[in-house]
Amino acid sequence: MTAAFLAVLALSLAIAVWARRGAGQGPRAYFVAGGQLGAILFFFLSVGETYSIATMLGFPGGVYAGGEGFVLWFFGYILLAAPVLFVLGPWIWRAGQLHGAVTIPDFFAAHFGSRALERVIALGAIALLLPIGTMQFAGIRLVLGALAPGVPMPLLLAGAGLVTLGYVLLAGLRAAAFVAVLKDALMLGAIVLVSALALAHWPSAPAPQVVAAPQVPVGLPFALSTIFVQALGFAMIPQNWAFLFAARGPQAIARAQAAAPLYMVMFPLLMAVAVFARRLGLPVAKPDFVFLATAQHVLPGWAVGVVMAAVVLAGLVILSSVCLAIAPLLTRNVLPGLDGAAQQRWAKAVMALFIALSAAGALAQVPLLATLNTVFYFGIVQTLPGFLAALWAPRASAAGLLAGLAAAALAILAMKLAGLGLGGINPGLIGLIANGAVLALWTRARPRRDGRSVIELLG
Amino acid sequence: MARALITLAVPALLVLLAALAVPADGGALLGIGARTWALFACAPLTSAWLWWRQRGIAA
Repeated sequence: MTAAFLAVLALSLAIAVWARRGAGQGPRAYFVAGGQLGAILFFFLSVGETYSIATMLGFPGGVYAGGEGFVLWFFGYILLAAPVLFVLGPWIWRAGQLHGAVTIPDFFAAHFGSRALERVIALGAIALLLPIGTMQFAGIRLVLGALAPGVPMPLLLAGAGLVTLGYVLLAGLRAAAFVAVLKDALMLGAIVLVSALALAHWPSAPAPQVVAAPQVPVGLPFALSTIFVQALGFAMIPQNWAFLFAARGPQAIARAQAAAPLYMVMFPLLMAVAVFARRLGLPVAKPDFVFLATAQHVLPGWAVGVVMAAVVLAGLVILSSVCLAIAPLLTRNVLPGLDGAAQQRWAKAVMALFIALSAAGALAQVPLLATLNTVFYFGIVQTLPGFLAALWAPRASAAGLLAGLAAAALAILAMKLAGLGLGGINPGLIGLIANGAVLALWTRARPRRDGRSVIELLG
Repeated sequence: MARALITLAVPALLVLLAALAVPADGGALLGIGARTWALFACAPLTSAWLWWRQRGIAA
């Protein structure tokens, strides 16, 4: 089992070395693969990113523990993220080309001519991305703990961190894209194999001691507003912008997003695995371990090693792309004035620090993690009104965007502090409405005189 | 703008239909309820819709 696991990780590093071939020089080549990824590589990088360690472990774990209640919003937002990126992705790509942007704040700084706006967006994005690394390590910890229970966990997480650092240092985003192909092939293979074997051994009746999955009720207002906020927020995630900038053109983006929903065949299969484990009365230490426990039940040891490697690779690929998103936010937008070589040097130090902090967070089992995760989407979506204004509203100004962001933050904070539920509506939606309303009012009251929209600039 | 909204509206309506029009207790297959199956069925339909819409996008 361990040998198969290590062989897969060694193969992933060999792929990262191979990805160096044809890589250009400079920050654009390093952070966004020089904008040279065709539809297939872009598909694996962008669409495959949707399926993180949370999907493989968390989705069946959620079904196992809480029944079908959360499936509507979890599946719904990932499904609707595809049409959102289908529509906005090509415009994000064109806007990035127009201003030579590598990051989201690059675009806003160039379009609105504001360093303050650039820094606010960069710092906000960094703060929101930090817990994502810890969450990946938390999943990796679960797998490595089962693979090598006798090895100290700090050593195992350090090894995982070094592999991630290896990917990004070897070939930047190109390495993440090429390793994503291996990760997705293994992940899809693992899910199909485990679910097929589960179906082949489907128990005709539930085990006598098994009770039905407890149905954790999820209200429709929460589910629908969360789908709305998270599907829109998907288009504004910093690493997703890096992937879009890495694409060869709008058609590659549209084709990848059109194919993306087909990839969701994994969800019914993962759900069937969770139902199988429950009907069988399979002993599961933690709900998130249900997929791996089923794999251990139906597969031989070496194949379980490959499945575990697929799950860990899912975490490592996300980690590497978040590293590559955070580093330029800091070295280009928060600390500007570094030349190309200095940017890459600083970026490597920032990425090593991010990996170390994320691993330490997972070891410490930060209790705030779940809260920070829910904050991620309703924070990240707040740059959307500004981007739409940049596309269509020549009179929108940096001050208006800052006022909108402040209104969103205040609205969300006020709701949280006052304990207002508003019928279960996602606070991100309230923030988004406040943000858009303040931006519109500010633009009407104090319009920018010399501005031109992205659509006008593109002619 | 109108084209973009139509592109977004069709998958959103499919999800809404699955969530609101299919009864929660409408039977189950492999332990998965009819409403959830209806939701899963939205994925290939959305893919087909987007594939049809992407024909006009220039390289």
